[in-house]
Amino acid sequence: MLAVPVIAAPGAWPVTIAGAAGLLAAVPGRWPAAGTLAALAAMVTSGIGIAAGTMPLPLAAASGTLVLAYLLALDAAESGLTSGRLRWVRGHLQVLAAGFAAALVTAIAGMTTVPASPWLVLAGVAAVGAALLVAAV
Amino acid sequence: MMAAPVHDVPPVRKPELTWAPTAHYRRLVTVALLPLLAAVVLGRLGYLVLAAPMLAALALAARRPGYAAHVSVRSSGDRCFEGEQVIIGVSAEPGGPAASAGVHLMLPSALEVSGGPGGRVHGGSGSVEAEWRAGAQRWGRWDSGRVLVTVRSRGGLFAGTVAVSVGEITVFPRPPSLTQLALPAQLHSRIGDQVDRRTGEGAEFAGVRPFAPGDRLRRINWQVTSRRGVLHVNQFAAERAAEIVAVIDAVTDTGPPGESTLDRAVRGAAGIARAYTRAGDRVGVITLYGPMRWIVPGAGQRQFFRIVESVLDIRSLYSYVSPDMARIPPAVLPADALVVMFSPLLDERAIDAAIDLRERGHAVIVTDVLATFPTPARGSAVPGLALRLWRLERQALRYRLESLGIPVIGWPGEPRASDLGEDTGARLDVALGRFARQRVRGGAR
Repeated sequence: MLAVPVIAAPGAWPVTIAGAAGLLAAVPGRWPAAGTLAALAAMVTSGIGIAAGTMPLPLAAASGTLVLAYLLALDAAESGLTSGRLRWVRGHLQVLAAGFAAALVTAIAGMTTVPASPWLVLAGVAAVGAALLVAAV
Repeated sequence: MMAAPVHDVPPVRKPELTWAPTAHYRRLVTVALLPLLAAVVLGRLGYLVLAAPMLAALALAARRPGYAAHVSVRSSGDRCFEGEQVIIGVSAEPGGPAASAGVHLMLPSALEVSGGPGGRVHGGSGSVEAEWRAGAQRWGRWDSGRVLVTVRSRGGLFAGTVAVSVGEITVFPRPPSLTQLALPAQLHSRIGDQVDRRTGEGAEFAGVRPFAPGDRLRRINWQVTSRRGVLHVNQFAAERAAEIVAVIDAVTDTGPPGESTLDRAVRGAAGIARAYTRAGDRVGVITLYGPMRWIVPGAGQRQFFRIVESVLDIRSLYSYVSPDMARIPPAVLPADALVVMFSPLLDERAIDAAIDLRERGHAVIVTDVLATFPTPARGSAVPGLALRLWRLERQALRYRLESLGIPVIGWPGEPRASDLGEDTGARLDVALGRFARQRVRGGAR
């Protein structure tokens, strides 16, 4: 997925190289920020692909989910998880599924052309208010 | 090195956890913010797709938990000798839903984990139990350490931590094994196990003499009587208790932790206390740290523990005052007591105190506990010469003390780098054994 913008957009190459270097540096765990930098590099690469039009939005959703999976794996490695790996994977599959679903919904919303309407704005504001209420309870 | 089993049931504590966002939380926020900002600034909705998975993961577990943890900490004992082990056991259970729980044992420098699962233990989402064996490395009263309990909330976005104290532990100095006991020329009038030069009611043969009215018939030496034609009786040496006063020079403390001069002086004094109290003698201790502290000579195992407990806090004592030996009551320092001083002989106040004791008529032995030597500065033009001069000064000091009637014994002898950490007590035993055969005389010179 990340290879698509890299192949199609030469502007993404330096970022990809930097991200790969960050990924390699994060493997021994000597520099904790390297993993974050690698994830940010992947985001930038995907962003370049979206801007260049070489990465369709569903593919971007998958790319974002892949980055999330990497961050979860990075967290598991840092927290010294030694036993119960299967249980950990099962527990985080829901997070990944939710993340992918959210990304897909956003992608579909991005691809759908909706005519401007005050009702739509009102529905959006109501949704935000409802979300805040649910979070507060 | 044996450790007592953990048998008591400790109280379960329920400390509040301090919750804070984890690195995972901050990472998710950072990675989500980049496409969000790009979407707002550049006005491209597509970038939101990249941020959506991270935002969903944050939303799923964004609520900060507020529950506590059930923690119980137990220890196999609160006192031990150097080299012995203490078992520290911990069980922790999160009071709410958790992704994982872990415990981490943090010990003071005097204790070292010598058995168990290492410093950190991770459990699953339920309770976590761990048991460590901590070896006591250095005498003193120490905080036994802390157990850091960490609970990660479900989703791993928040971590709750709490530090629980294990308690206080008293580590007694490891006394070196002394088998040959140095004795003063004059023994105390109390009945004991040491053979005196005077005759009395002991068991050791001391000679024969002509019979006198009142002598027991069973003591008649018939062989001598038949040879000389006059009644002769056997004489036996009296058995008396010796009085020993260990003096600890706490004025200076130099050397690596655990092997410093004060560490070794206290171990030496503990060795003296144990060996002599076992032999039925009376032992006291005087601590010189400027002013003085003392324990009146006494006998028995209780006296040994009284002495070692009294010296546990002397690392924290310091003063510029010069010790005045005239202030010591006669009960603390009896006239016929043997004084064994443990000193690195680095401070004039301690050296003067040894000379003062000798001039007051006490039999004094000085044990040099210095096991290190000065390291010349790098780039010094004549490093070897400076070291040789220092050694000559030490030799001159020892000669000066010996000429005043104060024998100086080395423990473990002349300082050498390879001697560090070799205090088994064998060398001290050999060095003091010389005075078991040739008793130390006090009195006027």
